[in-house]
Formats: sequence, C-alpha cells, structure tokens
Amino acid sequence: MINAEAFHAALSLLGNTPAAWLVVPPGLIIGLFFGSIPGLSISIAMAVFLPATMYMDFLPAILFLTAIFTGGGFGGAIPAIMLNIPGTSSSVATAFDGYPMARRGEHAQALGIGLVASVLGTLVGYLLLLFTVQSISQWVLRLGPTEMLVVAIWGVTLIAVLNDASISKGIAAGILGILISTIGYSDAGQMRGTFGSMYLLDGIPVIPALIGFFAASELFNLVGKRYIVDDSSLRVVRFRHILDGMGQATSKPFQLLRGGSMGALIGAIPGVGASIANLAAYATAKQRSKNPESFGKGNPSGLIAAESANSSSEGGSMITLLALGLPGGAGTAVLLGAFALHNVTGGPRFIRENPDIVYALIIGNMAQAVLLLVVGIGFIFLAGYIVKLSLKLMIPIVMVLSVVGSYAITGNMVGPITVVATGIIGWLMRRYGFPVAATVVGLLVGGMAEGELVRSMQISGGNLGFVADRPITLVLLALLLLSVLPRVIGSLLKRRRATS
Amino acid sequence: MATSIRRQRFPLGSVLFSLSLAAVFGYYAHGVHAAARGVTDWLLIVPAAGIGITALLVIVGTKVIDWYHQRDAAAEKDSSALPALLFMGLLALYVALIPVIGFDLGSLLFLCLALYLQGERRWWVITGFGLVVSATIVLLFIELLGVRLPTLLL
Repeated sequence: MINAEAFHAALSLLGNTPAAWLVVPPGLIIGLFFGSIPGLSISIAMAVFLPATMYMDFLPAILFLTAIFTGGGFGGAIPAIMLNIPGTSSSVATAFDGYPMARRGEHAQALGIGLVASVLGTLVGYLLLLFTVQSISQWVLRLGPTEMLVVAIWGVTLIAVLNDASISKGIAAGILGILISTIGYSDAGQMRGTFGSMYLLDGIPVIPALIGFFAASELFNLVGKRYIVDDSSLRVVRFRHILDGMGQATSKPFQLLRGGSMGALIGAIPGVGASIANLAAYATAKQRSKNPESFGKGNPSGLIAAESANSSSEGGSMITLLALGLPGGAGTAVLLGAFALHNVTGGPRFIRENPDIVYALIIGNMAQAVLLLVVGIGFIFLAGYIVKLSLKLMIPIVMVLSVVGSYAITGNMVGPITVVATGIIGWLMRRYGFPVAATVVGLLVGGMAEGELVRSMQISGGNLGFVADRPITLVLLALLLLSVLPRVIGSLLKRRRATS
Repeated sequence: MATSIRRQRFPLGSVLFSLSLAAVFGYYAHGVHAAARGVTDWLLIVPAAGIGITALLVIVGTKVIDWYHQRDAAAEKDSSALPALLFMGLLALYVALIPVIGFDLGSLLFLCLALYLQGERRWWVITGFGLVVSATIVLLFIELLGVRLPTLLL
C-alpha cells in the first residue's frame, strides 16, 4: 500500500519545485495539438520535445513529458470523434461511437464525454498506480510469451467477432491486418512480401496504414457530401452541449471505473498498452450493455469505455516503467529515454531508493489530469468548429495533412504510398461490409503475436502440453472463449433460423 | 393486376473482392513458406492465411447461397462509386508526382483539382484556397516541426 512518509516527502518536493508546475500547461497543450493532428502522434511529440528536457531537473522533465502524454491521450480523441480519424492508435475505439455521434450533430456532447472520461480515466490509472506500484511489479514478471500471445490473439478476436459484420468477415479482416504486419524483415532475418524493395524492409508503417484504413477510406466515401453533419441546425458548437456531454459521462461512474480499471491493468502489460486497452474496454462495455446493437451507432457508453481505458492505461504503463524499467509502448519508451538522459534507471531498486520521487510523479500526474479538464474545455471549443467546415474544403485539407504527416513519420514516400494503398483497400472493405477496425487491430498486434508465438514455440519445444503448466495462460484462454463464444453461438443460431 | 418480382443481382463485387483477398493470402503464405529456412519463419503466417482463406470462402459461399435463394435482405447497395474513384485517382496521382514536383506544387495542384472535382467553379476560390492551404501546411511542417519535405518552389 502507500508509504506515508514518502507520500509526505513527495508533497513537499512538489511544493518546493515550482518548475514542475510551470511545465505542465505547455506540455498539455503540445500533447493536445499533436494528438489532434492526424499523422502526428504522442510519441512524435514526446520525442521532438525530449531534448528540451535536457536542462530541466528530473522531476519537471518527466512531468513535462507526461503532460504531453496526458494531453495527447485526449487530443487523439478529437479527430476520432470529429473526422473518424483516430489521431493515435489508442483512439481507435473512440471513433466507433464518437464519430456516429458527431454525424448526428452531437459532436460537442461527444467531446465533453471524451474529456471527462479521459480526465477520470487518467485519475483512476494513477490512483491504482499509487496503491499498487509496490506489489504489481512482482505480478507483471509472471507474464511470459504464452500469456502475451493469448493477450494479442484476444485483442484481434474480440474486435473481429464483436462487430456488426459477419464473423467470417471480421476474421478475414483481422487476418488481413496480421498478414500486413508481417511484411518486411522478420525477427529471424527473412524478407517477406517486400517485392525486393528496400523501402519495405522495415515493414508497412503502422500510423500511415492506420490513417489510410480509417481516414482516407472514409474521406473517399464523403466526396460529394456537403457537411459532416447534414442538418445545419445541428452544426452549432455550444458550451452548454459540452457541459451536457460532461454531465452524461459523470452520470455513469461505474462505466468510467470499469473502463479505467481495465485500461490500467492492460496498460501495465509491456507491449500491449493503450492500443489494446481501449478495444478491450469497448468490447466489454458492448457485451455488458442491454443494447449491444446500439454500439457503433453513437452510444455514449462505448465512448466512455474507450476513452477512460486509453487514458488510464497511461498510469498502467507507468507501473512497468517505474517498477521494471520496461516501456509499455512508444510513449513510455521516450520516457525511458528521458530517464537515461538524467542518469536514472527505472526498476525495483529505483522504487525502493526514491519512493518520494515515485510518489511525486504519481501525484503530479493526477494534478495534470485535473488541469487537462480546464485546458481541454478551451481546446475542444476550438476543435468543435470542425463540423462547421464545408466537406468540400475539409476533405482536401485533411488528405494533404495526412499525406504530409505520413511522410514526416517515415521520412520517405513509403508513408504517403501506404496511405493511398490502405485507403483504397479500406474503401473496398467498407463497400463490401468488412470491418476495417479488425484489420487495424491485426496490424497493431500482429508483430507482437508473431514474436510471442515464436518464443512460445522455442520455450515449449512445440509441445502444446506446456500450456497446461501455465495457469495464467489457461485463465486468459478461458476468458477469451467466454467473451467470444456467446456471439459465435448466437450467429450460428441466427443463420440456422434463416435457412430453415 | 400484374405483380413484378425483382430478382436480386448477383453480388459480383463482394464475391470478386473476397476471392481476390483469398488469392493474395494464398500467394503470400506460399511465398513465405517456399522461402522459409525453418518453421518459425511461417509459424504465424501459414496458419493465419489458412484461417483467412477459409473465412473468405465461407463469405463467398454464403453470398452465393443467399443470392440463389434470394434471401439476402441487405443486398449490395448500388450507390455510385464514381466520385470516390475519381478522388482516389487524383490522390494516387498527387502521391506519384510528389518526388517530381515536390510537396508545395504537388499539394497546390491536388487542392485545386480536388476542389474542382467537388463542383467548385470559381477560379479565384480554387487558386486562393490552394495557395493558402498548401503554403500553410508545407511551411508548418518545414519551419515549425523541422521536417525535411522535398519541395520545388518553397
């Protein structure tokens, strides 16, 4: 539990370090800005501003970078809600219900819901970290390759099976993503699907592919339409609507807590993080809902689950960073770089020797979440005007931003070409009813799944009985089956009734 | 009074798309398996492709059976794909020309043509919009974010 002496020391440390507070608002704004521009990402923002922390003390440096992390977490929700473009991979599930709400003219409410869910999700994540940082560090070490493999398969299966299309289409779409993720040099040094091009040796770049599948394919569909929201009376951004959305989110504390807890727990697993957390929380919210069919059509509960989970996963990923010195994702990898820049090594020893700094980081991040509420309201008020823009102007602007942004990520033409190619594939998939989200999830976890599968094979020697000695793997497998089987059985029964 | 029963059209697009994907899965898995030096090279890819091909064949089979029995309530929509296809072509052309004419001129031309494609005919709106947006985006990335973009004029 909490070390009271270290907790008090942390409070006085924060009180005596004004620089730690001065860097937070600019960090939040930078994060919001980078997160809300499709093609830019939180990790890019953190990497770009990492050198700026060189002349700061350790605590302000880390708080500045985590402020970018926190701001970017919500920033990614803005294009996901307004344009169906997840600004970051952790905002994929945010678009599922956020964008249909925006198209219904409830964009301000959706942004309000997203903001409150983000703020409370971040608070939940760091609260859990506060209470568990000592004990969870030992638990995370028990996850081996077989457990990680099941987690990756779970991520794809959930989204492939729990969608509105047929299960077969979901599976085919998920596998398309997994196969795309294997293009390039494998861990074992084999060239796959590169057609001899040196540009593909590093594989298909994930963020440009994500932009293509989600954004470009949707923009192609919008060509010819005048506005995102057809009804002009609904294209109004009112402060009242934002507050209304915030009220809707706070009226569902259980959903916020469930999404936040799931996000923090999944975020604590290295290499999984927010990308899976938001999808898993979304799938759980859909399963538990009395109206699962309303998910994907603008159900605020889906938005709450996705945003609270991806924000709380930040706290979860900090557990592994602080306790084990392992980065949970790209953002925490940059934080690890900042640790190195200040000659600090994360791990059990760091927690034991510097409990005041650990607690100061946690408390500082909780304060950041509260500040995000203030900074975020102003930011979404500006962002809300996106729906007032004519699509005739917006489609070309977003397309150019996506192409230039993807070039900035890859540093060559592979990024823009990926946007075009995946945009066309995504458009065809949408036209024939394949869930594009399943492909994106397959793409995100495919590399991890292959690595863990190979490691599991090497450790077990190909003996499947090896899994029987791993109780956590068995529990995860049981959870996977329990979450997927009801939908599979329901679908088979529906088909049988239709044929009889 | 005569009643007309309208027969559903064969879902050609859906079937062709599914079969094409299955062929791509098969081709990729075969290529990886043929070049593999050990089982770990294809451990994920071949089984995944197999499951994918099976799922795609199930989709094709279901579509054909549903069409045969005229059962698919949500038959393929016939919405016109022409505007989307034209826009895709324009985007592909834009990306293909970037290495030659740079992001500045390429973006300017793309923005102007995209606006024209969507029905804008006022030349001053087209050129003004193209100039302002392309210059702003390209300069934002070059000057503020320090990205080295290939350009022709800026």
